[in-house]
Amino acid sequence: MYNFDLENIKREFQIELSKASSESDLFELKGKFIGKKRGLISELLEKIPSLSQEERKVFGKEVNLLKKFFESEISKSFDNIQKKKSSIPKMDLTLPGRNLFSGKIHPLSQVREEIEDIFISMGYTIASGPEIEDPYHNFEALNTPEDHPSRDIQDTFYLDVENMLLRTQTSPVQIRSMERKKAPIKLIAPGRVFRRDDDVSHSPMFFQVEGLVVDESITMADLKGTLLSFYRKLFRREVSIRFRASYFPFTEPSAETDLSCVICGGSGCSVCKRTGWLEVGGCGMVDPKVFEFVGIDPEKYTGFAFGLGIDRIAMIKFGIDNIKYFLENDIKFLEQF
Amino acid sequence: MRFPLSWIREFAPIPEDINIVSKGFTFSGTEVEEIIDSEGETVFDFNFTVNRPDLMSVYGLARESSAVFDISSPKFSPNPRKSQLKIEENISIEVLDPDLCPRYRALVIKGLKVGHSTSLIQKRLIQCGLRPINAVVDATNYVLLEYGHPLHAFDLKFINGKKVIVRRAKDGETIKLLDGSEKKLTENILVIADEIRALAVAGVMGGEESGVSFLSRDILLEGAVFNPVSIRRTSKTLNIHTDASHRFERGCDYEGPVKALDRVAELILEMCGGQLCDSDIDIKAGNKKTEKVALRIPRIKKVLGIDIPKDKIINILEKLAFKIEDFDSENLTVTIPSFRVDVEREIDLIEEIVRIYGLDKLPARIPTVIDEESGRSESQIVENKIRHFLSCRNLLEAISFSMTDPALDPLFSFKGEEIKLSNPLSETNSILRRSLIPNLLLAVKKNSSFGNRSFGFYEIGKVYFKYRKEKSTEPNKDSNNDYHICEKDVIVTEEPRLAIILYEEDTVKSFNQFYPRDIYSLKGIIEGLFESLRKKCSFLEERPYSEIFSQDNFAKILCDDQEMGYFGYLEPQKLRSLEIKGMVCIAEIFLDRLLKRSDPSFKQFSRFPFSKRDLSILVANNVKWASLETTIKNANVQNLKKIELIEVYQDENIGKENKSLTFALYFQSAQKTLSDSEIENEVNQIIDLLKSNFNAVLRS
Ligand SMILES: [Zn+2]
Repeated sequence: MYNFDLENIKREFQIELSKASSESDLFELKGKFIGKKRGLISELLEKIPSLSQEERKVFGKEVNLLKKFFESEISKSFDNIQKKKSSIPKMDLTLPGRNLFSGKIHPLSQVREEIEDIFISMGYTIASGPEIEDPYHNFEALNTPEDHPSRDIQDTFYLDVENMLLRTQTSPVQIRSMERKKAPIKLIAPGRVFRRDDDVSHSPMFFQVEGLVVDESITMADLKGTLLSFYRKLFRREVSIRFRASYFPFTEPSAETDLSCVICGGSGCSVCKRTGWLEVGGCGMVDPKVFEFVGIDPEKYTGFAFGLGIDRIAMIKFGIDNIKYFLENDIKFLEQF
Repeated sequence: MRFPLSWIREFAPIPEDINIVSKGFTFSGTEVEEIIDSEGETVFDFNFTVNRPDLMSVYGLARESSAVFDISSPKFSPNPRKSQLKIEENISIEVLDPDLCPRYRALVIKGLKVGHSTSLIQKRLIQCGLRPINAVVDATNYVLLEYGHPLHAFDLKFINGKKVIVRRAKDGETIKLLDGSEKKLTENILVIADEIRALAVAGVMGGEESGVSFLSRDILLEGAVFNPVSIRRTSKTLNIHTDASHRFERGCDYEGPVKALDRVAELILEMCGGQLCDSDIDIKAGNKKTEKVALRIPRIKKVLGIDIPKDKIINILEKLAFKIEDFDSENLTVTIPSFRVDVEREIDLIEEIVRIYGLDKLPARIPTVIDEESGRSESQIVENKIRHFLSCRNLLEAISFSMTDPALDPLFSFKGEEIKLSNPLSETNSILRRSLIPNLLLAVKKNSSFGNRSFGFYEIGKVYFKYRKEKSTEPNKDSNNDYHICEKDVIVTEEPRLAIILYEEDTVKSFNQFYPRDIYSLKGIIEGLFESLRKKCSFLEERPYSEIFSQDNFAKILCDDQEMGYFGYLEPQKLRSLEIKGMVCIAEIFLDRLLKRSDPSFKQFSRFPFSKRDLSILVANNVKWASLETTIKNANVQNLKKIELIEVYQDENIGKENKSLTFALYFQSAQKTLSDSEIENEVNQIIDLLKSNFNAVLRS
């Protein structure tokens, strides 16, 4: 007589089945009892050749019954678990979603990145440099000697370190880049600048982008085309620009750039003070004296430079009416962008 | 600076339409800031650029108009009637410092009766923003406005010894000026003096005593040229800015004194009578030679990118009073008129041509230059990555001033000296920040006072230090820090930083809040950030840098054994004194070593499934999770791949001195599916380890 206690195996199965609470538990159970390779049933069937003829018949039949029992029990349990799974409560669509992405990048960073991307697409380098500067790079090499009234245009913060100041413009980055790379050069320099000026429309710290292109055949027409193409991309619409003659110590000829008002399209609104034009920044051809300071041959090379305020662009682009908002870090402001 | 159009029209037939006039000036470089109606007369408020002192007068504007509007050139030829009186008998003049006073011209009028100026003169002075005083002073101011050259009138009887001496002041010499102020002078200041004392600060302001009054009978009229740098320094030293100094420091016409003095004499004789002496005294430090500049026609196109016809070029320059002396097809020689102190190079002439020709005629082209560098630098790319990472973790990017409050900054600073502003706008913004935290903390204070109860900010920006130079503080040239070596022994550096600040009032429970604003979220953000940059950070508990931090909740952030920053809770007690009522945790990370990208590198991974076993153990409260985790990891259990903390649990039932830790162990082999007994073996190995090392009791 064979001595396999099939009842015991069945009991063991039932205990383990009652503990199985997940699909992976059931898979494990299935493998243990009716798995093709190491399952108990397979092990039992392997014993058959060692039994007598009659025993084989009875035993074979009983094992098969047991196998079917296991199969149907396991399949029932799978069904139960799946039923449980599909019985999650119906969602309430009116409840808010989990707040994963309410962080924001500062509007000035967003505009700076967009400006950079446009110029990168035109092959420019994004340059940067120190915010604490010496008067040579901030003024003298930019053709703004100490005893000239052009110094007064920019009210400067001085530091308790002899001969050091907070840069009033990002132009010293241009000087440092030209000193290092000479020509050809094609860069923009975005960054924070400081002027000792605090009123309704001025902040003692604000953000500028300046551009510089130097090569053997750069003309003022290239400057005009570059700015026109840049502003078209920035505002994603047709715009026009116009130059007004002006004066900057480091460019000659110099001009102020006006952009056709992107808010009213030129018909006149409060932002453009009814003129249809927005003043967006200064520009001009690099003064030969600046080339002499950095050691570039002013006879062989010409270049253009331009500047614009990131704050100003962000105000126009997003319809912000007060420059002071940018540095107040008010959540109500920051979360709008 | 204001000028009525009717006055300009006396000299030049400018267009009737004031919009055309305004645009003409504005686009050629002299902005009309405002058009004012003054009792029915149009007055323009001009914004002159600093390089064009020659425009700051009615005649100067008329002269410019001739080119801008292509009209006739103005004439200015005063002709005062002279008497037989000899000037030498009344005054002698000596210029001791010709460098500072290259020209000094004087006229003398005797026997006049000083009354009020005419109503036209008074009206125009007022329209231009000046106050009428008496006929003589008004006449000098009128000529200043009309012709642009500053003049001064002295009462002859106060000039001791009938002698004017133009000299440097003596150190400590004093003078009482027309505005009533008493000034102490230095030897860098040029004065107009007599034999005894200073009568006027040259080019800036006259003295009170020697000024012309209604009682004056005989006067000396001065028209001089002074050194611009000297005038500018004097004006700054004495802190006086006048109409005269404003023009002199920008440079003035060497020939200006001639017509200006003749014109003022003409006006004074008309209004006050008197007799003009037979000639002038005109002391020149040598004749100023006329400037000639070569202009190459092809160079114009090289700079502007446009062909301007040669006859047009000549026409523009001539209208601007330049003289074209001789020329061939490609070269001009241009003589610069004496009043154009700003023009001395070929490029200056090119600017003159294009601003009159019209900048609107420039075509638009795109340059084809190629810059090999192109694109963003490594540090700019990483900074942007950090911004995008943190803004996707519910944090708002803040941007604060680089200046901060010297009362807050030291609480967060642990190295270097602070840099002070020499001329701050306010005490609370008088130093450069050495940490990003103070200004962020002020933002937290403001936003929490507005009723925001749970939020987080981050900021990327520079901090600034001053070091006394020693060997150990030699700047690292490879880092992303900018530095200057100043004076003899001072180094100024700028270092990029990242700060994160989380605020939570009590424990805010909100249905849709992604994560609590607590120290564990902050730790997770830091770990995630480093991981996103493919770096691994670790933490080391430390005593905090200052008492603003919670003494029990502070740690340094490390990466590759280098200190990369710190994080922790701020002490609630200290926050109360800053009027912040909630909990604040902060992190500040030194970005200079982090601003480099690295590529990920692929590692072979197992294709067999994980097996997971959960363990719950009871340990003493002081057992740290990290040491437990490290002990298990260091035991080199063969197939253990990962440990995951599920729950930390404390309860009366398990005893106050205990805590329960539940964690999952993941086993996996690279070669096969692990059997139950193999896994059981390794689990038991771990349990034994925990029992012997931590007296752990197995709960299930
Ligand atoms: Zn508009």
